[in-house]
Amino acid sequence: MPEFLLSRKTAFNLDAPVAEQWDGFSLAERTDENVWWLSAPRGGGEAFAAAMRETLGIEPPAAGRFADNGEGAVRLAFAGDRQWFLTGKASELPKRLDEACCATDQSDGWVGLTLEGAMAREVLCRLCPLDLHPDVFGNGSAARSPFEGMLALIACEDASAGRYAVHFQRSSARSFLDHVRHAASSVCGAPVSEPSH
Amino acid sequence: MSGGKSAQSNRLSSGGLIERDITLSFTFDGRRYRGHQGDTLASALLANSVRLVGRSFKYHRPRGVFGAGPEEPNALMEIGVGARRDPNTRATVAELYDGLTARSQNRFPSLAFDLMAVNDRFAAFLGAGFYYKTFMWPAAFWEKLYEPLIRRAAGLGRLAGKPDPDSYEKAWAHCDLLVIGAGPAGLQAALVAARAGARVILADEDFRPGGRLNAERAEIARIPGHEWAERVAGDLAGMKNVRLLTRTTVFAAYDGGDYAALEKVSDHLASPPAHLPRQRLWRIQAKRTILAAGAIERPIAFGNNDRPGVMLASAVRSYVNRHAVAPGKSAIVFTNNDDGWRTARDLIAAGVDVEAIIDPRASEEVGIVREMTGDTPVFTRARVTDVKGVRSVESVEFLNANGRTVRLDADIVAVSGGWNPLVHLTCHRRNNPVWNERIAAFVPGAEMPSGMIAVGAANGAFSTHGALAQGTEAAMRVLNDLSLGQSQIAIPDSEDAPYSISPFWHVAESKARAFVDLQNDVSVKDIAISEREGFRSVEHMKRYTTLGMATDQGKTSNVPALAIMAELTGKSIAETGTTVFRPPYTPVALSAFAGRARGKEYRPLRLTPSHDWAVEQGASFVEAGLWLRPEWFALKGEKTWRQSVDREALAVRKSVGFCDVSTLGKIDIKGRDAGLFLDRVYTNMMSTLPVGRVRYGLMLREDGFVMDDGTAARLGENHFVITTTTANAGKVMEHLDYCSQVHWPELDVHMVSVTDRWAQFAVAGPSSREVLRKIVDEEFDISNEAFPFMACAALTVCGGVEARLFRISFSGEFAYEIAVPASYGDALARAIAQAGKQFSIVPYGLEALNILRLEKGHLTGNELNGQTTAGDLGMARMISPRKDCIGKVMSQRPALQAEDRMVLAGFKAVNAAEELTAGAHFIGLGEEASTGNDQGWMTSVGWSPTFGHSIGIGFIRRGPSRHGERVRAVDLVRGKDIEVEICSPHFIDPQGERLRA
Amino acid sequence: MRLPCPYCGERDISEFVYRGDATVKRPDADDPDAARAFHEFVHLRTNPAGWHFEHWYHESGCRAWIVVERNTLTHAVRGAVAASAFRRKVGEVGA
Repeated sequence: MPEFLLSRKTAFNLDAPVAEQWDGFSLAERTDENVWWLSAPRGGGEAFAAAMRETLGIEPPAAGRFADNGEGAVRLAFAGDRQWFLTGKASELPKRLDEACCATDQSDGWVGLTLEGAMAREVLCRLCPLDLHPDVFGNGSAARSPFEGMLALIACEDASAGRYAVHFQRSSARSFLDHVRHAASSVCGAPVSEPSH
Repeated sequence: MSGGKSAQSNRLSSGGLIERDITLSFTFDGRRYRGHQGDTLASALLANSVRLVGRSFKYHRPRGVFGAGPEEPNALMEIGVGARRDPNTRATVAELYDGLTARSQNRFPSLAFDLMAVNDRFAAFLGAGFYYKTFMWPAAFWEKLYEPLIRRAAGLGRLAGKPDPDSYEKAWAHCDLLVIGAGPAGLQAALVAARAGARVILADEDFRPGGRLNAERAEIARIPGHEWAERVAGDLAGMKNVRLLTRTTVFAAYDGGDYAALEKVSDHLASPPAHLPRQRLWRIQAKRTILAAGAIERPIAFGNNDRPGVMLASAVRSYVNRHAVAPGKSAIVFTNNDDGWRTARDLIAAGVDVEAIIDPRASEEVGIVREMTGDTPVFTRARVTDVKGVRSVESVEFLNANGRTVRLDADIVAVSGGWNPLVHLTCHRRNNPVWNERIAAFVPGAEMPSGMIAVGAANGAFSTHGALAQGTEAAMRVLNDLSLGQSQIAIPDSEDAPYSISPFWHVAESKARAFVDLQNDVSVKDIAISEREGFRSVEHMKRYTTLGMATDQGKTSNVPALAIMAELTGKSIAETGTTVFRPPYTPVALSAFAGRARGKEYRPLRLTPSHDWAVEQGASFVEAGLWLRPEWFALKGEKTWRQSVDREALAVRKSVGFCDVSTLGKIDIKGRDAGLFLDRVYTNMMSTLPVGRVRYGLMLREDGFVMDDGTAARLGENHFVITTTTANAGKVMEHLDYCSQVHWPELDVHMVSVTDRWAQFAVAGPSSREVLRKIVDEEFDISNEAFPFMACAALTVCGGVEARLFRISFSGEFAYEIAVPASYGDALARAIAQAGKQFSIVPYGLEALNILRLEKGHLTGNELNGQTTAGDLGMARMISPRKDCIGKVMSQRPALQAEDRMVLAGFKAVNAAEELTAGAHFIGLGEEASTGNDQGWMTSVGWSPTFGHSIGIGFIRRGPSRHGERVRAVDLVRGKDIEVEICSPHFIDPQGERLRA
Repeated sequence: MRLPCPYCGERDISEFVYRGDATVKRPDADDPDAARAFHEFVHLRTNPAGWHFEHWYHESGCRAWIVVERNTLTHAVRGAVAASAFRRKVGEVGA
């Protein structure tokens, strides 16, 4: 029996995930999500795609997009030249996939928030310089972008509902959350939920 | 105390775009007045017959409202109270709200009686460039007398002097078409484009869309122009593909369709809701842009043309038509163009007496229909020479066609010298405007910013029809360019009067000063002085006279000034040209540029995984780059930081301490060629590193100087984890990406930053192994044999939690670093604290860490400052002769190998009680402290609790061969000159025995 | 100004870090003339007034090093490719 047991904290160093609402906008911390950074070798694109298809059932998406397997449990987002950002329930990667690319478990390094609401794009335009209009950044779009000087990945899950997934680095999580809150209040008025911390 | 003679005595009984049933109360210079919703502060003051609103900058001459928009040079006020008080605010664009408090500027003790008006008597000595010729003698008087006097006299408004309590915001917007200006041209263009489905942003600086339609009596489609504007704006506001921004000035045109605009979100609200920002800075990315910014009227200069009551003719119309205010009781109109006559017509319609229309043109040149001004006396070939009255216009003197002086009583002089298209944004990318003789004005040049079209008055088309037609045409062109389909919007009917003008800039016959730049008090005479003294180019004239350099940026003065200079130099206006136009078009508060990046939010804050625990322990924090790191953990009773730091450092040396080192950059490197890649970026061999071992490494820049140091740990055949210093993490990542993508794309190497993913703690001191035995799961052997110095391994802790253990030491003590996934970081800190209790474990912070490494002679950014070589650091042997690496060739340059270079050494004060200072320079005993005798400098110092005295390391010529020698550490900044002894920089455990225990 | 990252599309210039001329190639360290070659590689640039192939790092985006063809006088940008795919010789300027 180990003398000490370690408990986990969320990225905001709390015991429960963050969730806050405004009139027309909400944010919720994504939980139970593993994050993997995948990098395919030069010339190994085909092997990587085949491994992806056969193990996780995902077709690697084109630049600027993400794809998920049927159930949506695992999502693969394009993150740059031969780079991919894998999120979802995947505490271990299938061996075949592990051999077809360099995989780095980044789970604790990234925080995910689901942003949703009729005013989501209006809130996001205070934070993100990208054009998020549904015609330009519709369902299935993914991009890396600065958010108030912090690096983030944004994906459009449902443009008509205004639902976006945003992932950013753990160490600046509180600063990021503060900026989102500020933008939300500016657009929607005071929050209608209790602050998480 | 209610104000004025009778309240709002100048308010017309009907008309205007004001809401008469909403009465607002405001104060100006302590007196209370009333106005209405829809007023600006200026229109409300005029409605209350307040004529005197300010004192001019240099001569403190009494001034009144001159214009009706952002071009206003006189009515600058402090608006607001306390920390929200804003100086130099134009009353002509300040929206009136209930409770507004305004105060005039630049006068003492009061507006009515200003002591500084004495300057006006010395005008002859205060002309252009006077400060280049005066205040020179006696020389000593400058600092003690002249400068303080001038400083007190200079400036207009006062800053509040308190931190800005409001919040500001930045936002991004994207569109197919950005329309700048919501006058007739802009509204029409926006409508055409929006109806076809284009994404449109329409911005106007006013709080009410419509532009000049709100100030004129022109009709569109047989309804009043302002009504047409209201309808179209309403349509646009309801369209999903349109963003209508009022109170928003587009102030800059950047490269590639990039624009900046300032939106005044709550400046006009008496009590803004807490969540609203005060102002919002928009960055707009537009595929196409239509500049429908309109035009601004310019005056004519004549004697005493700055008296309260002399106003731009178009401004008089704005007050009469839009605000239902008659600026006075009897007016004289002085104009060189047909448009100025409209002021006479509108004044007559409002029941104001017009004593005369004075026009310098010959009768035949006047195109306008005379009937509209009834039997008002008209004087052609005439010009105004002087204005009588000081606090207000009382009468006007003019020369008639026969050269005789005539005097007429009046209290308003409405002046028009013509119109200047607002070309500014077309010039922000260095596109000089072009002089158009027909309209006697500058119009946009040919090299427009990408995707921009100018229309309407901004393009020199001054009629309403011209605006609507050009707006329509431009929008259709844009729709076509962007393949967005077409729009079936007809051009509504409107007037299309020709614009007839004869250039006339100043009245040469005036004897009294004729002002050109009202705000900076620059007169025609000053321009003449400038020309006479050789400052003839417009750029020189601007700086020498300060014309155009005030907060109005010369909007009403630049063109008349250059025309006058053209006259004086005998050049054409086209040859003379304009000064360079630069953003911003109107002043923008610094807070708006800052947005949220102020104070604590200036940069993102990075917190370590054990941050909250450290707060609980009472840690004192310091910023290390973007990170917040504990400096020390003071215990109750400790009064100075030294007490805490000494205690922490001694505890580590004696027993055990732990420190959160998660901030160091950690880069995960994988791939078949990972080892080979590291050989090329580090000076020493890394491909030979056995799995399960760590090696200290040095990275050079390509020019041979040291860039960074760190460790490389080999966790697998094709798997390394390298560390960098906290400060250089980003730079190293950039460098490694460059090497792998540009130099050697053929290598199979994959890098990803894992700094945030791992929580890492240093556990250091003789008892560190014992502590870790309680943390590391028992199946892993961490004895000295199984896990020697510089070993590393992936293992588990606390019952199966994934972890990595490294036996490395920055402190110089027997130590480890243990890493777990960041979500366990907080818990691990607590577990280590518990596990170490029986060994009296202490948490230690950056200060103790620094002392420990200093005693050991380890290096930080002070030594790795980008100007030192491996040899300077005593690490020449770390450059492997077996292979090339980044920087190797250049590191062999003769100068970098010279034997007399400043090399790392340790220093201790000969008198042990002295405290060394970093930055001190080394001078030989008995030598003069000069740069010629400079032998080196001290880089890091600290009080060593282990040795009981101050120690330091630094660079000194031939350091390693001079141990035992004495020199002086001279610190001229802090006034110290201390004798020191050169010694080894490794004060403690130089053989590394403790490390290998 | 905006740069066309081949992976992320057109982005504001503030997302990138500038480095310089992309046509100079790192010399061979074994070359007998290496000292001079490296000195030129590190310190000397032609600095043309006009079209220029240059390295930019997409620091706030995909972290790719790209080669941008930019006119140093007008800031007009003609295109960009991944640095690893760029094949041009020293001194060869834009077409």
